Amino acid sequence: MNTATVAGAASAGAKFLGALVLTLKVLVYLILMVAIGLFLMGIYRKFSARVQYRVGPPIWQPYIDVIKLLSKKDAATKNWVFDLGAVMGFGGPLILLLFLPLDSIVGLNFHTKGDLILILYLAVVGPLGFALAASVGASPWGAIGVGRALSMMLGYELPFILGILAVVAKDGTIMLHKVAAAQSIWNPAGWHYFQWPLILAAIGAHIGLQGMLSEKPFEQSVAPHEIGSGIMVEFGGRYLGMMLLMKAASLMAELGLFAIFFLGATTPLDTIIKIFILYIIAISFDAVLGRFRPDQAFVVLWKWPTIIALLGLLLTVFA
Amino acid sequence: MRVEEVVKAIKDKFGLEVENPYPRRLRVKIPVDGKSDEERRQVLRDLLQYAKEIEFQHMSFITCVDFIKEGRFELNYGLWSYTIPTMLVVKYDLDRENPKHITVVDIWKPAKIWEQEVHEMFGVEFEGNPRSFEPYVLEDWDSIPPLRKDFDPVQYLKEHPMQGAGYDPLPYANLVEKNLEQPTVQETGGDEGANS
Amino acid sequence: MAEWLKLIDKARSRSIWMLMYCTGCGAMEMPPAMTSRFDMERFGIMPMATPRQADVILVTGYVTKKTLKRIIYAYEQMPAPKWLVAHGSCPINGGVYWDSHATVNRLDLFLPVDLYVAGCMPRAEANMKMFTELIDMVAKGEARGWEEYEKNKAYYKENQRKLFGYDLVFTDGRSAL
Repeated sequence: MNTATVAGAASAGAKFLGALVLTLKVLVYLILMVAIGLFLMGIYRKFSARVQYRVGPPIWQPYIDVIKLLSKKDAATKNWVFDLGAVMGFGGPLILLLFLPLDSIVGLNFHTKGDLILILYLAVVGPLGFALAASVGASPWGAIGVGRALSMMLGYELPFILGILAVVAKDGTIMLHKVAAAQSIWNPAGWHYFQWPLILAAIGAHIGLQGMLSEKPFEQSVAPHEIGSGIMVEFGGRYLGMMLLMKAASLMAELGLFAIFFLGATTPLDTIIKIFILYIIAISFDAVLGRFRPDQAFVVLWKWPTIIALLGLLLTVFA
Repeated sequence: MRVEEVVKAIKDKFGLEVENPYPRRLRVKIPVDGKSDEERRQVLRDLLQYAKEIEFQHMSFITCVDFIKEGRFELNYGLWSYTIPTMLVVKYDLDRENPKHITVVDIWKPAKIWEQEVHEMFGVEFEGNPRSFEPYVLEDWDSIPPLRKDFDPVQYLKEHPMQGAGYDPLPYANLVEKNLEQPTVQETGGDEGANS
Repeated sequence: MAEWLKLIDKARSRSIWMLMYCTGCGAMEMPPAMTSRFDMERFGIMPMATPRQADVILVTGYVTKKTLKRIIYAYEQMPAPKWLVAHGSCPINGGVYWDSHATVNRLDLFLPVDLYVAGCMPRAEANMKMFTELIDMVAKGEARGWEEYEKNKAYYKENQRKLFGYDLVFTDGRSAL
C-alpha cells in the first residue's frame, strides 16, 4: 500500500516536472521567435531608410521601441473588452507559431499535430482580437480602421487559401509536416513554388501574402497617418508595445506558413533562412511601390492573384 | 459676354457706373443718393442675382472695411468669373452705428460662411442667415468685435492678464502710438538745386 | 533597480515619438529634419498621428486661445513619460503676435514646458539641436515636466480656468471634443 502511494506521488511529481519543462520550453521558444521577428522589423526600417537615401535607425531600434512602450504609464482607463481584445490579438499568432516546424529548435513537436484547418482558424484570431479592441475605443477613426482591416483580410485570405488548397490537392494531405516532407529542403526544383502548375497557385498566394504582411501596396489598415493611424488610433503605451510584439510574432507565423507550403521548410534552420529571404522580397516591393486605396486594393486582390491561384488550383486538380 | 458688354449691361439695367481700374477687375458702388435702406438692399440683391445670371459663377469673398471717421462700414462682395477671368466687386455702404443688413445666402450659397465671418469680426448682423450669429473662429468672445477700428488690443490684453502675460505691453504701446503719427516732411532745397 | 531605471531612461531617450500637432508656421521646418538631409529617424525619432502613441508634443508656433484647448486635451491624453517643447518665439512670449486679441503669449503658464527653442522660425539645424538636447535630457532623467504637471496640477488648472473662464472637462481621460 505504501509503495503504491509513493509511486503515485512520484509519478505526479514527474508529471508536474514534465509540465514545468514543457512550459519553459514553450516560453523560451516564443520569446526567441518574437525576438527574431523584431529583428526582421529592424531590417525593414534600415532597408527602407537606405532606399530613401537616409542613414536610418540602428537595426535594434524595434527592441528599444518595445522596451520604451512597455515602460510607459497609461493615461486612460480602458474597459475590459479592450484588454481582452488586446490579449486575444497577441495570443493568436503565438499559438499559431507553436504549430510551425520551428518549434523543434527547443525540442518540441507540436508541429506534427497541426493541420490546415486549425491553422486557418488561428490565423484570424490575432487580427480579430485587435479589431475587437479597436472597435470599442472611443475614437471614430478606430472603427474606420477596423472596417478597412477586415475588408483587407477578406481580400488577401481568398488568394492565399486558394493557393494552399492547390498544394493540398497535389499532396493529398492537410497535415503541415507531411506537406513539408513532400518537398526537398534545399533543392529549389523540389519546392512546390517551382513546379508546374503549382507555380501559379504560389504566385497568387505570394501576392496574398503581401497583403497579409500589410506591406505596400496593401498597407491601408496599418499605414502611418492613414486616417489618423486607423486601427491603432487608441493603442498607446503598453497596448502599442503588445501590438508591436504581435506584429513580430505574426510576421514569423505568416512567412513560416508560406515557407512550409511552397518552399519546403522542414527544420528550424532552413525555415528561418527562408523566412529571411521571403521578408527581404516583401520589403523590396514595399520600398518602391505606392499604396492602393482600400477599395482598389480589395478589387486588385480579388482579381489578379485570385484568378492566377484559381487557375493553378484547377490545373492541379483536373490536369 | 465680354468685359465691355458686362459694363454696358449693368449700366443699362441698373444705371450704375462700373469702373475698370485695371485688367481683370470691375468695381461698382451702390450709391446712397437719398434712397432708403430697403431700396438699396433691393438693388444689391438684384445686381448679385443679375451677375449670377450673366457671367459670374463663384462668390470669392464678402469683406468689410471699417471707415471709422466717416462713420460707415463698406461691404465688398467679390464675384469671380471663370469665362471672362474677371473679378466683379460690389461695394455697399452701411451705417456704422446700426450695422443691420440682409443676407444674400439664397442667391449665393458661399455667403453663409462669409457672412458668419463678417458678423464675428465686425458685428454686422445679416437678417435671414441664422448661422451668421454663431461663433466662427473665436470661442467665448467677450468684447466688441476685434477687427473694428475702435477695438484696442493692448487694452484687451490688460483686461485679460492671463492671455497677455509675458510682455509688459506699456512701453510697446507707447512705441506703437508714436509710430502712428505722420512724420513731418522737411522742406529741403534739394529739388530746387536739381532744377537749377 | 537604479541600473534598470537607467536602462529604461536610455531606451526612452532613443525612441522619441513626436505628435504632429503643429500650430502656426513651425510645421514647415519639420519635413527637412525628417527627410534625408538631417534624418531624425537615426535617433529613433518618428512622427506619430495620435497623442496616445506620442512621447513629445511640439508646439511649433503661435498658440491661440482656441488651439490651447486642443493642446491641453492632446497633452492629457498622452501616456505618462511625456514632454512638451515650445518651438519658436511665439509660445515663449508671444513673438510678433504679442498684442493679438487671439493668441496666448505664454504657454508655460498653462502647461509645463521641458525645452524652449528660440527663433522665428528655428531652422532645421536648430530642430536637430533641439532633438539631441531632448535626448540628453531624457537619458539623464532631467525632463520631468509631466511629473511637475501632476504635482502642480492645482496651479495649472487655476491658470487654465482664469484664461478660459471655465474648467476643461474630461470624461475618464478621453477627449471631450
